[in-house]
Amino acid sequence: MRLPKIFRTSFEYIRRHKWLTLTSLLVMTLTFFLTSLFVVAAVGSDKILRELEARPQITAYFQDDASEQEILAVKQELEATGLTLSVEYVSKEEALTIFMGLSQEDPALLEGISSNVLPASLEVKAKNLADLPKLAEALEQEPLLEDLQFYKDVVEKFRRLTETVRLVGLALVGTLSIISLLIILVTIGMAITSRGEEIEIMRLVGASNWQIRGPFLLQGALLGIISAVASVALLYLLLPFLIPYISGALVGIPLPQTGPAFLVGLLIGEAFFGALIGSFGSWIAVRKYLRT
Amino acid sequence: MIKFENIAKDYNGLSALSDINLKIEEGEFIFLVGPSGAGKTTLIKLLIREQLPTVGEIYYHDWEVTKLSPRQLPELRREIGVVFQDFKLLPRKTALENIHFVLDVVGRGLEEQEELSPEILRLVDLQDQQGHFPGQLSGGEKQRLAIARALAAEPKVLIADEPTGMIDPASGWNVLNLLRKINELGTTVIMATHDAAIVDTLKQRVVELDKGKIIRDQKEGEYASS
Repeated sequence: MRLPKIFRTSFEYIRRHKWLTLTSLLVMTLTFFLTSLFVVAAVGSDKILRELEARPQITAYFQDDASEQEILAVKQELEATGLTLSVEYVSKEEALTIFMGLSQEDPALLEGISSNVLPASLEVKAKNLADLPKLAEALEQEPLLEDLQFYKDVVEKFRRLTETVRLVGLALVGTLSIISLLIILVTIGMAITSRGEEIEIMRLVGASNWQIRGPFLLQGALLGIISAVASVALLYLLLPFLIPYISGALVGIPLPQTGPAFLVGLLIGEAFFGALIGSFGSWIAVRKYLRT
Repeated sequence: MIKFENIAKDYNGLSALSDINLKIEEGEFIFLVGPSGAGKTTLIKLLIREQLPTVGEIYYHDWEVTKLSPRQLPELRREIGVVFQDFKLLPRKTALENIHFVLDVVGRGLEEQEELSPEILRLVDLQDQQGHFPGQLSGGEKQRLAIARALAAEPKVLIADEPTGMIDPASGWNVLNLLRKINELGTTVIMATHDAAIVDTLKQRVVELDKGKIIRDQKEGEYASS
């Protein structure tokens, strides 16, 4: 069948069942929108996790009177254990620079702060996470130590949270995909039923199965693609409102990439998935009418 | 060309056809006669595989009709055109669009459709009704439109199931003359009918069915057995 004709037929099917089409579009758009959110959440939490993992796993803060030489001696001791991936010295001045960078938007915090207020520190990463307790123990025996921050638990907790987000997301998106498929089945089923006579006549005058199936497959695929486009558009409109909310909760962690490239990728992926779900649903719906 | 071998068809245990053996050659004009319920329509449905026989084989050339793949079935149906008892016209399409529809199904392009459709309607003398919907046509006109639609696919065999049953006698003769012309142009015509006058006038091969069996197969026969 020629393409323009198949499109005309598909559009006619859609027009005849406006409300049903609208319902299926809404359900599918919701599915894709939630899928998008979970993709953003999954990509985002993955990035955050990597960021957390890349951070120093132990930060040792030293007393105010500890000199640079003394701290560097501790650094050498730690490196001598062979367990560290890196040990970095952060001087009081550097600490101030970092703090000022983080607090730029809150000038009140910066008033009266000088490099003396902030402690110098060593940022330690272990080659192997299992060695962290040993390193922490060694540090705790240093007389010059003021405080010790141990990130292992935070990373672990966040890793578990990320996995949960992924599992819940997958389950939800899976369920909604099935609902979308069923909705497509009903929508296309109605379109077919209302055309039962026509399909019967088509078959009797020798239309091939593809000539009958084509417009319905196209209809399903169009529903899927339209829903995908609508959901990504919705996400695009809502992101500016979501981003400040998210970045408020995650100080100092760069936000997941949600730029145009990400959205276009998401759009292509979901449109493909939508076309697949839509045409698959139509295929099943038409199948029983084509048995001879 | 067409061969029924030992065909039987049951509906829920009730026999509609049994012991059917029938050969039809290319270019023949055949009347299928017999009372209502004798099995004429069932025989037609089996030939285009709208239904499957309970036992037996049906051949169209070298195709075994009961074993055709889904891909071959449309080809068979394009070779064998059927004018249905109840016309089966598309009610929401005009006469012209009903023809377009079949031309589209058999793969004719848009230009060809626009060129051929009026010609086909002229063949059955419906050129003035081309914009009418089936509901606006008389019984005879609907019947002619149904024939025109069957012809559009250029079938090798044309089957007409009681084509004069629901129309007035004058229209009936028009339809018959049309079928004869089609037959003279080389198309095999199989016509199921109750109309004794038509059968007796044409003196063609008559196959009579009764209670699902062939009880007569006569060359140059008449409606009633002599």
